[in-house]
Amino acid sequence: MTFYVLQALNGLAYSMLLFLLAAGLSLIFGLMDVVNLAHGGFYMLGAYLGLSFVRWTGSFWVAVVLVPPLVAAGGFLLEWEFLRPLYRRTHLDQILLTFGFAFVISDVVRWLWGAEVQSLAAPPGLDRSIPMLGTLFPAYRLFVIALGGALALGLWLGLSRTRLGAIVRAGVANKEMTQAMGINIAAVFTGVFAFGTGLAGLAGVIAAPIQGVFPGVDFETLIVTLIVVVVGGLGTLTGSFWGSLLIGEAETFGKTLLPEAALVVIYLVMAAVLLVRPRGLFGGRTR
Amino acid sequence: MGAVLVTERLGRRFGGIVALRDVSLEIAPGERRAIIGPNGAGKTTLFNVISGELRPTSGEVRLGDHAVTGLPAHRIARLGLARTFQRNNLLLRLTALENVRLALQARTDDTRKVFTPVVRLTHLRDEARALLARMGLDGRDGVPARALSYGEQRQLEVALALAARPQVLLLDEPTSGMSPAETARMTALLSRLERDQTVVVIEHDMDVVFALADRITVLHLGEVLASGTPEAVRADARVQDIYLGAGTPEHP
Amino acid sequence: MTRAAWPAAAVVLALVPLGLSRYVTTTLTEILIYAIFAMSLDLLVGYTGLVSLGHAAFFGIAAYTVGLLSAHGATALALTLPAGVAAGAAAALLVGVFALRAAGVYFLMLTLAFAQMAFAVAHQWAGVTGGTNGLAGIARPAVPGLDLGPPVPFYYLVFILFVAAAWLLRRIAASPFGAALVGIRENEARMRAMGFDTFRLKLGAFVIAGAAAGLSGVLFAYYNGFVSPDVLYWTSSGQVLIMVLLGGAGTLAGPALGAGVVLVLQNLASSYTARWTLILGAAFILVVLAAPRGLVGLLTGRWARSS
Repeated sequence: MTFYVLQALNGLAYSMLLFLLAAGLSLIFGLMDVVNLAHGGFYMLGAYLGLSFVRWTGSFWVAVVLVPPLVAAGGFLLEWEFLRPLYRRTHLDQILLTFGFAFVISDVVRWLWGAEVQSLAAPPGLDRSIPMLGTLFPAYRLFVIALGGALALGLWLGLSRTRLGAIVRAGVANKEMTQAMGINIAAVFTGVFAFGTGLAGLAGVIAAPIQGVFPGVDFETLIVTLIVVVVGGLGTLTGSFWGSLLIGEAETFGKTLLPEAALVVIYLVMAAVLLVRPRGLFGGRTR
Repeated sequence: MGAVLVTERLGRRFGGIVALRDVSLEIAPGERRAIIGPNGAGKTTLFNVISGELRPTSGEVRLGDHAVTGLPAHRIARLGLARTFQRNNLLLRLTALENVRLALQARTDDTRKVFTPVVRLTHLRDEARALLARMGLDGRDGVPARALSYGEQRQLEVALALAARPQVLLLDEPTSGMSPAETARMTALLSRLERDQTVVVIEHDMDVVFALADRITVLHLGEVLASGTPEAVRADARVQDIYLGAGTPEHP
Repeated sequence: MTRAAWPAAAVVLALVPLGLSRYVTTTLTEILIYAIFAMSLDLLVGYTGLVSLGHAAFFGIAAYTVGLLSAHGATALALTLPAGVAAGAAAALLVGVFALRAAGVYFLMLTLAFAQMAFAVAHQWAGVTGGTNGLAGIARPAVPGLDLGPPVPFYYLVFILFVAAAWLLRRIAASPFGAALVGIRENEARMRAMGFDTFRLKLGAFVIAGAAAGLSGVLFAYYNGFVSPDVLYWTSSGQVLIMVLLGGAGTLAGPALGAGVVLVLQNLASSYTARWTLILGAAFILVVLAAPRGLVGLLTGRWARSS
């Protein structure tokens, strides 16, 4: 029994990280109809920058505060300089552009930080284990669960209760109408893109002590995030939340219960969901 | 012989919005039926549900002997139904000829041919040319659809539907945006169609309606308000109440 | 592209090994292999309008098929070639059935996901696939009466298969089936309203593309002598996609040309820097921003349509 609870908690921590990523990706898509294929790259940037900040300042918390805005700035640049000129063209062109950036970020990271696997220790205070249920559970993971939950709540409240949130929701529902009402939709695009990217960067820093820091984490993470949004449904925060939970737990339990099949468990979950709901659990109807 | 197109208590909701409610129609073979009603009455939604673009949330559709409720659009098309769209829905970068040739190809088995150059299938090309000429588009074969005038594009829309030689033809505002001359030509063409084809047309232009229709169905807020001969509908007080404005002409 | 271009190119390519160096011959061999790969993707991207980000999956699965058969002593080309092509086609069928049911963006993401899954399997199922080391020691295929070891005979094998693949793909593109694919690219909803079973047509295109990619994968395995998970990595799919976009989607000749340009660039760049991925990404961005119709588009000055 204890085993399952502990695994569920592990899965929950992983799900919270996935949620940070999926929420950003899903919001960007919901508003702009663009799947940001460089999302994993920004996650990776967050992790590596976190590493460097910790080395320079000795403080994990400084990294957590400074890295996300830095990564968000990168997202801002991408959107402002490169994506904007493509708004006259198809969404496919925009997606392909982000794909090109995925290549660039991937190699730049390798260039600047090298190709070895690196690790980041949990900050002092959280680098111990808490006794619970007759065994020990890493405090850091509890922190991740708490942080993820708080952010999920914050996002939900922000979207549903604030004026800015209302603007974003309006933009997702109907861009043209929102613009006709005097809202500078281009600014909203830039803002949401930067914000979503910043979330990915935050996820990178937070995840580093758990996942490790290595080249290739960008695409591994992107794929899992894509599976989450496909399962949950693109463009919906609710979908990202439940999708993250489902995939996070499936992956965690898969790894421990069926190690040989662990690889394909989440793909099977995705295939199963798609057979029944081609647009994901919370996506719209196809007809 | 039974009705060629039947809808039974057809309903369609979009979330909280009821676009169609309890729409029951029976259209006889060879009949010319006009569907009229104010904007937002649900006319195009009705077409979308019949043709398979949308699934109804309640009710049934029958095409001849086939129950087609919920079938995908291409299956219903193959069963003998063709439609045009309210807004031009063409293959814009292809030429008028290529558009019609594809429409013709759809009802043959030619698509299975993977190794024969399509240019060698001269029967398709000749039939396409003939159809374009019939629609008043001769000489425009090689013009990309997006380079055609709006009226010509509307004509091409109808050509694509006619190419299928359908049992039932659904025309969604075929003359919208056309000049009076173009409208007259389209009306003349439609009235010349053989009676082995059944025509259901959504129209706002009452001249066209009265020139073509054997029976008229009036939709309002998703429901059938009235249905009958043109005279009966014109005399219906409820119709007069809610549906003014398309300039009902005085007919002798 | 004028109709004379293809036969002229074929003649030139046929004569190259007789006059030029071994280095040129082997480089051209690689180019022709990737040209087949790129043309197969063009059928999807350029003609049907299906952008797949995971096309390397079929290439890699076929290459691994050859590696495995070779490791078990099966070297007859008459066996390995159909086996690889069939493997590519079968994988495409499986992926297509899922990915094509999904609309628009989901399709893109699913192709990426499946290719990554193939990579993960190749990477970790070490007992079968050799893991990170892959499968080495793939000898040239056995064809009765021929020694395909030296570069020139092997080049001619590749050349003949390239000509055959190009001819087949061009016929398919010019057929009513090909016209229907173009119709799907232009307006799939209207095609359905006209009565086309677009799912089945797209699946057909997907399987053909997978088979052709499989062909190139087989030849690659023999050319390279070994197969590693790298062929299945996302950068591999990205590279063939840029070959298509750079050359000019929807023309078949464009992607073949694009394959040549990209590989020559790669060879040049690799002698100066290790940052090929960065250059590739930058090229990708540049093509999307500035030259969406690719080289063929630039050369002909208009959208080279496939009809």
